[in-house]
Amino acid sequence: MTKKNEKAGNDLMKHIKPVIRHRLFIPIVFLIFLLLINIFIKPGFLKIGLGKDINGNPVLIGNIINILNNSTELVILAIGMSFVTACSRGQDISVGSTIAIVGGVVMRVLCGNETQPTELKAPVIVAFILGCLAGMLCGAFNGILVSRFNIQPMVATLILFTAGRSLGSMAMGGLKPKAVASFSYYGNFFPGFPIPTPILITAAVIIITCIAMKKTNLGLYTRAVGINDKSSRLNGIEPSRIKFMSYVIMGLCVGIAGFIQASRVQTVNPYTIVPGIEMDAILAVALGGNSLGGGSLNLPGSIVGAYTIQTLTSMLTTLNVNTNAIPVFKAVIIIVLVAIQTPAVKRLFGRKTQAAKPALGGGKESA
Amino acid sequence: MKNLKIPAKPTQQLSNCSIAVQQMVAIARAVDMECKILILDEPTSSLDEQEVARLFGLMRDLKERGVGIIFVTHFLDQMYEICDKVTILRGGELVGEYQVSEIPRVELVAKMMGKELGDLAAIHNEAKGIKDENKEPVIEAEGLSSVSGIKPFNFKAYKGEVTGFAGLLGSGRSECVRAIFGADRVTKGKLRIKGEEVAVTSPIKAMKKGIGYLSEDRKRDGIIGDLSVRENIILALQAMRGFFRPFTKAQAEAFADEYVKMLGIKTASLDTPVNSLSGGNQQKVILARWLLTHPEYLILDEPTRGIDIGTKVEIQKLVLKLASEGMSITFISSEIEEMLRTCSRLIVMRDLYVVGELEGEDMTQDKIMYTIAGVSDQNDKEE
Amino acid sequence: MKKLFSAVLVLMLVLSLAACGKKSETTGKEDKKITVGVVQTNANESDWRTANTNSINKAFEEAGFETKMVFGEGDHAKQISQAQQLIQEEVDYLVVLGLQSAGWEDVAKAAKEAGIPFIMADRKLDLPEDLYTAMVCSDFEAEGKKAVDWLKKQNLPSYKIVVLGGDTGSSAQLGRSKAIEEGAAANGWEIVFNQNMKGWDENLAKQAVADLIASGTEFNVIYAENDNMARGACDAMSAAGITYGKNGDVKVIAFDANKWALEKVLAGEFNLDVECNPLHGPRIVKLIKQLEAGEKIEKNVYVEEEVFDCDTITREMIDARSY
Repeated sequence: MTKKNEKAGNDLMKHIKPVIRHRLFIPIVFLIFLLLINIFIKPGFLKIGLGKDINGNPVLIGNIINILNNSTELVILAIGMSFVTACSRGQDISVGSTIAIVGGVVMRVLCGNETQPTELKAPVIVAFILGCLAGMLCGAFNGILVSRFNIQPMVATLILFTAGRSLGSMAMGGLKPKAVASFSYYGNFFPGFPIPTPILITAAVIIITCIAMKKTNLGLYTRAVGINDKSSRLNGIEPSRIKFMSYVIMGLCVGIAGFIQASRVQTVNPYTIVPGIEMDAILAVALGGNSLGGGSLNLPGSIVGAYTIQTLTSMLTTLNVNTNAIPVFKAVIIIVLVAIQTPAVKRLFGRKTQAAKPALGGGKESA
Repeated sequence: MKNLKIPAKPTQQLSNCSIAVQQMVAIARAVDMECKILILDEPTSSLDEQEVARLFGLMRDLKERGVGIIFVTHFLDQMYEICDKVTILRGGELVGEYQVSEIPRVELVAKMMGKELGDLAAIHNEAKGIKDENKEPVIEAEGLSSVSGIKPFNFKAYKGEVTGFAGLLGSGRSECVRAIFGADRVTKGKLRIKGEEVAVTSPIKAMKKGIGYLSEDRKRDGIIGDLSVRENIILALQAMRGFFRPFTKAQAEAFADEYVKMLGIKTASLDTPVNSLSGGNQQKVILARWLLTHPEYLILDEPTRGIDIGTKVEIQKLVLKLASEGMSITFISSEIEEMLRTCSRLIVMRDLYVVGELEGEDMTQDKIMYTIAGVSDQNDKEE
Repeated sequence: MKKLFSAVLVLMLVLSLAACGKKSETTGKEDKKITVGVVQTNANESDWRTANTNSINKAFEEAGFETKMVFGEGDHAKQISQAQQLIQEEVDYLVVLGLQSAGWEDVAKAAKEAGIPFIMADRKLDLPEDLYTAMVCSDFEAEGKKAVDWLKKQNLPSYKIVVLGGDTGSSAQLGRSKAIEEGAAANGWEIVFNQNMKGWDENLAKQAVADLIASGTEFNVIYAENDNMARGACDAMSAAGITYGKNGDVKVIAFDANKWALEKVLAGEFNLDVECNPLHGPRIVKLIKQLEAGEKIEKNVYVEEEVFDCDTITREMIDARSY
């Protein structure tokens, strides 16, 4: 036996294999690849400079900062969407419309019935909490339809998808108010602090999610229910409760995202706010290597996926790609990215590493 | 379908049919292709005896028409009944090829297990040793019935006793234990656990009262396929511990490790998805899951279905060992011999009714058959 | 179900036709209220739209018309079925403010067959001359040309233009983008960025401009195809410390001229705002009255629209406006 050679080969494999086969490998490699293209075309892409805004407050300026900043909503939604996808084996397509509702509620609370109020009508924290509650209420509505009435997620959320933007407009009383500048801190900068607030909020949401994953069984339960809900029930997990919860979590994510979005320009147009973000959120989940058929929960993947999409969007802007070509451009990149994550292609990649692995022992010799 | 006498309408949705019917439709599809060689991989593992007989009739028919059939099974009787030649494999290696008529049963089993056979006999003796001396009922069901349609039944299980539910496929064996476990919504009746009356409305409540349930359909109700071996093992205990108290990775690792070693589960690692394990090892994983919860009353619904003979013996031994340690166990199997070996009391069912209870000397194959058959209308009913 | 529904509709149509026929024989049109069906886009799409809807409702009320207004809420197909419904309800006039320019032939034909004058407002629809009666439309390309003319007069040493387009394919976006693209080509200006923002969204415009600034793209003109996107662009520039407007480095051109936007023009934040007049009500009333009187009308007249320049705008001009 050439045991020595074999051992050396195995040692090498031991180092490479975990990296290549890691579930975050492809999403991260692709993100780095996109960034490299950007740097190649615009060498100053990674540059972050400390500038001053028009009032003389320090601010960070740079493409990376913009990407981190502008992807906030998408990252938060992708987290919620991952839970929903993992356990209910379907997607919530109402998130964009629900953001319109949240935005409407936030604006109404802050501006009352005036279009150009000179001050905030309520503390921002009240607007934030009410916004989150509105989001969670919408989530609960979707959750009940999915978990109790067993309606397919896409069909169940189609209701709010259709009605949400009108409801948002009704929440605002048909007005288009613009809140005063102090509301803008949450979607932009706090005067004197150079890091955009949304980046901090993203970090906070990610940290809270991490803690929740560590301190609760959310991850295990979500995946168990998504893979086999009958079996989960027989193991003492209530699938309908977990599904319901995932939609409420999604609603909370929508609430936070809607609040930030409203703060960014201090006004909300329910009919046009975050156009198409539901599809981007679903895409982020898919890019992160999660199965859209449920059962897998790769939150870091979804987050990387969200940043990838925003990098792509930003790239298409800075390169001034022709408007008509943008959808084609995006589609091609997405096809490539999704394709290299399919099992068929993965097998091609992993053939060598797998060959070293011994075949699994059957149960026959267990006696 | 007529050829195979499948008891279903062609227009019926397949998922609404019983597993047996689904299995037979799959066979019909294979037969329909008019092939030269037909490979049947464990076609009989979820069929009852009549259905097996029907399938064998068809196989003989095909054989006469010149179709070669490769029949993969773990049922020795069936192999002897239908096959001409047998190829024995063990642990991925070819052991040998024999004419069926030339190899005696004992030798065959010995070759399969790679050692001399003596275990089965030993089990038989152990079984006789168990008696319910300690008359403390762990579980007491009175007039229990559920949405699944079973008729109200009474049932008692004592500490350290192995009970069994016998009956044909679809007679309501699983439904009875599912009602006790709260898996099907209970409509009528009372359930007392150690004398205390409880309303078991969901499995988690039953689990917290010390009941464990290894379900009948391993793929559908048992394993959670893409979860790792470790996660599958700790799942039930974790659910009992509660949402906000997850085990640390080290704890989970320790639990899983302990039971993997104890039951001899063959897996590449604890992180391996459970569905890449063989059927027998999957079953052991689920067994580990329930043993980890240290139940006082453990229900094993068809724990030996679709797994190799070696693991079967192991599981039967384990059942007896657990019972001797004081656990009350209900053991359900389609193979009556298995139940005769392990159980000290048998509940006999027919058409959703409990029709009898056999104990001690009465527990013989003939007696069970007779009880199941009742008068002699068994054939009509089961069509 | 659908078949039954349409059968009932046809029946109703026949009955109402018969009823109408009888009525006009005996009483004539004079003492009957004129019913005008209006197919509007969205109830609360923007301030512009609200002003537009209010103008129509108010003018019709004052003229003594009965108004039947329906909203497509972003759904083109819904608008078409709503229009057909109004035709079947036998309105006297049909006013259409289409979400999209294309696809209105069948409706216009049905109206013609039913003898209902078809008036298009807001966006010009793609219809042959004989299928519509009149139009009250904005000439978006002319609006864009006004901005280009103004830009030319500024005599900047160089022109580096950022074009923030509206929803791709809407007639406003097409017209306004065409004007600046042709203007730039004719005058040798450089368009450094030209992309359309989904939903005319303020935040998307803001993010796009922020990205351009961060990547070091130089520009000195923002050509935003509505007020909101101009405001978003200004937000982004403020955040990066770039000056704009009357005394700034970057010229800001906006469209639509909402009242709040004109305040910004007055404050010198926007350099120019080109009006897109939403006050269609009185014009439509005038048209209908002319038609009632049997006068001949000019088919293709665009709405007159003003330009607001930060150098010439006054408080009175803003106060005089109703939206």
